[in-house]
Amino acid sequence: MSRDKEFFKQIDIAKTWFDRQGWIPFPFQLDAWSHYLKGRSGVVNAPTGSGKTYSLLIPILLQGLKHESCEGLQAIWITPIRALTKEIRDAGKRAIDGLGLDWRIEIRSGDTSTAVRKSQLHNPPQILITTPESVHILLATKGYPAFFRNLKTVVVDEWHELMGSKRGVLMELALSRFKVMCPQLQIWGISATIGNMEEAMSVLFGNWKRRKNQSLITVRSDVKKEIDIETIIPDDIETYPWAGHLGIRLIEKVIPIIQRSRSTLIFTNTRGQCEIWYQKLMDVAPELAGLVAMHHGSISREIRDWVEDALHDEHIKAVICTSSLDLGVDFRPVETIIQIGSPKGVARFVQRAGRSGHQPGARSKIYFLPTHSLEIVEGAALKEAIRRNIVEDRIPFVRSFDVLSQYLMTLAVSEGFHEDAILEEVRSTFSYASVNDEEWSQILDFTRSGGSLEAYEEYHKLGRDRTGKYRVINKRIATRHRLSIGTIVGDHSLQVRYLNGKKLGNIEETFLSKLRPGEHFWFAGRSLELVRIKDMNAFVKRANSKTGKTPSWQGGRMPLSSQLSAMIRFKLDSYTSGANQDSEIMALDEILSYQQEQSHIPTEEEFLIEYLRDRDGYHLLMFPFEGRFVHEGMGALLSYRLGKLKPLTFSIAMNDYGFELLADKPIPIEQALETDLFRTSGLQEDILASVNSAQMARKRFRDIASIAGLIFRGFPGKYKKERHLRSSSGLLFDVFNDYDPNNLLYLQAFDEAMIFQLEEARLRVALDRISKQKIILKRPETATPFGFPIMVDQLRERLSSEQLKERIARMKLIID
Amino acid sequence: MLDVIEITVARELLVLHPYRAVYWPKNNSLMVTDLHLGKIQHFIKAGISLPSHASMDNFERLSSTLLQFQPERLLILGDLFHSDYNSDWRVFSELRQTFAAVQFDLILGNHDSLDSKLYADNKIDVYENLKIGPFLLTHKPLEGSADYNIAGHLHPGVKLYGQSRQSITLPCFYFGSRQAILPAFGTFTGVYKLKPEKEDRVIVISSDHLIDVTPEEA
Repeated sequence: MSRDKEFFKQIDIAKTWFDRQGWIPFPFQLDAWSHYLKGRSGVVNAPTGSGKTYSLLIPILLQGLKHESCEGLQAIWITPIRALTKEIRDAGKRAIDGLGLDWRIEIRSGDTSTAVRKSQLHNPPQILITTPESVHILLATKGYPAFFRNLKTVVVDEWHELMGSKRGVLMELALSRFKVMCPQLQIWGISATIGNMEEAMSVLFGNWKRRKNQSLITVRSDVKKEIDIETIIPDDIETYPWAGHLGIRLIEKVIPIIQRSRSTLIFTNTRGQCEIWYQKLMDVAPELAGLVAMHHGSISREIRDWVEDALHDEHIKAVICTSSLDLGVDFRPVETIIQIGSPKGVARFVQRAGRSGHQPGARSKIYFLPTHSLEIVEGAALKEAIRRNIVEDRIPFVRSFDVLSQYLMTLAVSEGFHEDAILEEVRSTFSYASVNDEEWSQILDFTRSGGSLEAYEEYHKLGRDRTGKYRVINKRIATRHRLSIGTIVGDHSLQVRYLNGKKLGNIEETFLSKLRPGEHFWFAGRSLELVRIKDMNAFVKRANSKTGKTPSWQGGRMPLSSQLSAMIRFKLDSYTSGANQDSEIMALDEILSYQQEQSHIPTEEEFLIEYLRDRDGYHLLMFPFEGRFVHEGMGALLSYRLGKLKPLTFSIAMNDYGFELLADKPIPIEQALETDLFRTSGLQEDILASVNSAQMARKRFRDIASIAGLIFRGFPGKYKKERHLRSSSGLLFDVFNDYDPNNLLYLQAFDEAMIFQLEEARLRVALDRISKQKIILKRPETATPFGFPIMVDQLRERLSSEQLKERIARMKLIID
Repeated sequence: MLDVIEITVARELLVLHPYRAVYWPKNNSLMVTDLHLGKIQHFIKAGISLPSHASMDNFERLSSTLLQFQPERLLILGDLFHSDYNSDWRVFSELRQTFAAVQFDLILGNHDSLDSKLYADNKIDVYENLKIGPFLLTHKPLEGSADYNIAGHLHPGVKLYGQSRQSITLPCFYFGSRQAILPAFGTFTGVYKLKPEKEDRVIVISSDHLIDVTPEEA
């Protein structure tokens, strides 16, 4: 039989099976099957619910049919979250049975029992569904090369999701090992559409393409999801608040939507907001009790599983959730989505919309509920972005030395590594392509011995064996390393449990420590009374109070994406030219014309500055519409530059639309505008001088220290002297700051602060744009619709350029 | 030379040094506490990579204050060594020999778990606590002592508040009406926030400077 004939025969087997199920393969699935069967690698670009799983599972199985015996592990399927593993396994089982294979497909994750994990090592399934962390734990296992000996395929599902985190870097490193160990390897990514698709491909494959001398394939799904967007507009726009982030005032409009729809997911932006909405919904619509559930990342896994099952089986009508349900199980009955507050990005909005009508061909229905009046504009901006197919980029982590150090330890505890061979593999990745020899030896020394080889030999973690391989010396260190693999760093939280031990979830220590036993609070939709705190547990019992504190969780407030920002500026521009027909903009007419009257609405060629005085002082407001991170940096930068003209102390407030500098003395704004205030020259120096970068880096260092193994995270079967190893990341940061300021992990903290906290690249682009715009300086009498929400913000950053010593001298010790 | 601050406690003049040491001229002795020597090495030995030369700073500051004040006696208020024996003790032994003429007295702290032979070999006298002049020196702060108590153990620090919601936490010397708590001498030791009361004297340490932040009479 010729190769072609055999190939078509293979595809026919799959087609026949599809046919028996009453399915017809999509063109992109056929495309993927044929590329895969020709031995190629690449990326399948398809959204969830489009049939992406079978685009790659089927050809993996078809390949299996061709061979007489397929002993050992043939394929690894990586998913970012455990919740997805079951669904993929079930799909796999169905196809395996249907195609008449005798393969096993199994899950291996943190939830897998030790016994199962052990038996998998001796008798691996043909397909293993797992996470990046579990793969690294396998790489930390003695004898891993034998386990992966027959590996032919790695599929990285939801690659767009992994790529924007250090878990993506874990994946790059694992692949760099597999590429060398398994010369026949095929690698496939599955990704939803992101702005930087090509980069996503480079990150996944590193420099592999060049070496294999074959081109990588992109298979695009032509399944286009239709999204129906409706903005919930308040009846009485004049009295809808100008500022706010809860949106509770529109709760009456949500109830009929829940009642009309078979089932509804209500997305909130924070866990605190989720708790409050649930509570209010129960107050306003008690008839929904038992039909509405809550789901967020701090609620225990058991309760979340129950909610997911109940939703799947249509036992409940609605779930109020956070990003915890962005990904995960296919909830076929979900008909409707409600997004409360700005989704901050187009991709997130589309992803959430896609949770409804979750099957090929179905329409998605999403409502957008604005939490303050100006936010209504975002409804129009989102529609425009989706119409133009605009999505955000995902920024990959590069040069994450913390992850690299962890990886070297991982290899050292199992099979050991030869320096030169591993360096070549590491450099073959996107993340570490630019690591130079000096950096490499620094990170290797750091991993070996704490970075100073003069240190006594007895302290070295790694030694060389007879073949020259680096291996870990101390067994206890090896055990501890295996327990701490991964890049997800937990917060300091306590387990919330009933007195009988049943877990409800976890809440940050800082919230619980402020409660006294007997006090009531709300969590997981229940009114609870704190009984006592013991070890890392907060024991509670049911309470029946209507009031009580709601926990808040630390965690970043996401900034508005630059893509969505641009659409908002576009919508405002089109309002000024009178060309706009959007229902959102028309509904806002009253407020926008008031803004126009009192101040101005900027076109895309203009930049608006408002300057006004009131009881609080002199307010300087600017509206770049670039997201709060950029505004924070720009606010600090401008107050520094203004402070050079005249000594001033500012407080800075910001939201996603603009920022405010507040001073107690007049601000020389006209004079400042003549000095090229928005220049990008000298930007980095000015940022370093103005922003408290050390403070930001210190925060970033917490995760880095943990990933690099600097934080001792406890040990099962406690050792006596364990408490002598306690420290905090702040203390560690200070040690590096004082004694090893060139340490790569320490410097990484500053780099991460610049890239992810200050969004330096975006700040630069924004400044460039503003310096080309026409500046409109207005002096409104009172706060405008644009300015008001910022002026009432209580979370203010203060800035001062004085020396630390002088600052301390003026500080006071406060005696209660 | 770094600026010092002089302070009178229980009618005795004490000299506070920014290296976190107290010189008592009348008794010609130098007081330090919570050196936690060997802590960095202890971490490194457990596989936690830290800059090992960070521990040298402890010895440099200790030598330099001993040289500056030339005391007859060094009073260590406990937690001299952080944990199990490691190479830092050898460095400390060398320092001990360099200052062989000085009397070294150690009040045992909760961390001091080394073999007592090591103290004897290095001519360090060991005490539970020490009563000298008007002072009772202990490791942990003592409640209700008749004498003025000078202690360590807590690693005291205070949080200072500035205008515009600024704040900073710094290690400090703390002098109450019946008790003083000295700052931890060792690097990599952290601080525990104290809540001072009226009439307490608080002197904070910001790198190499001492700043008296005692609240003024209202």
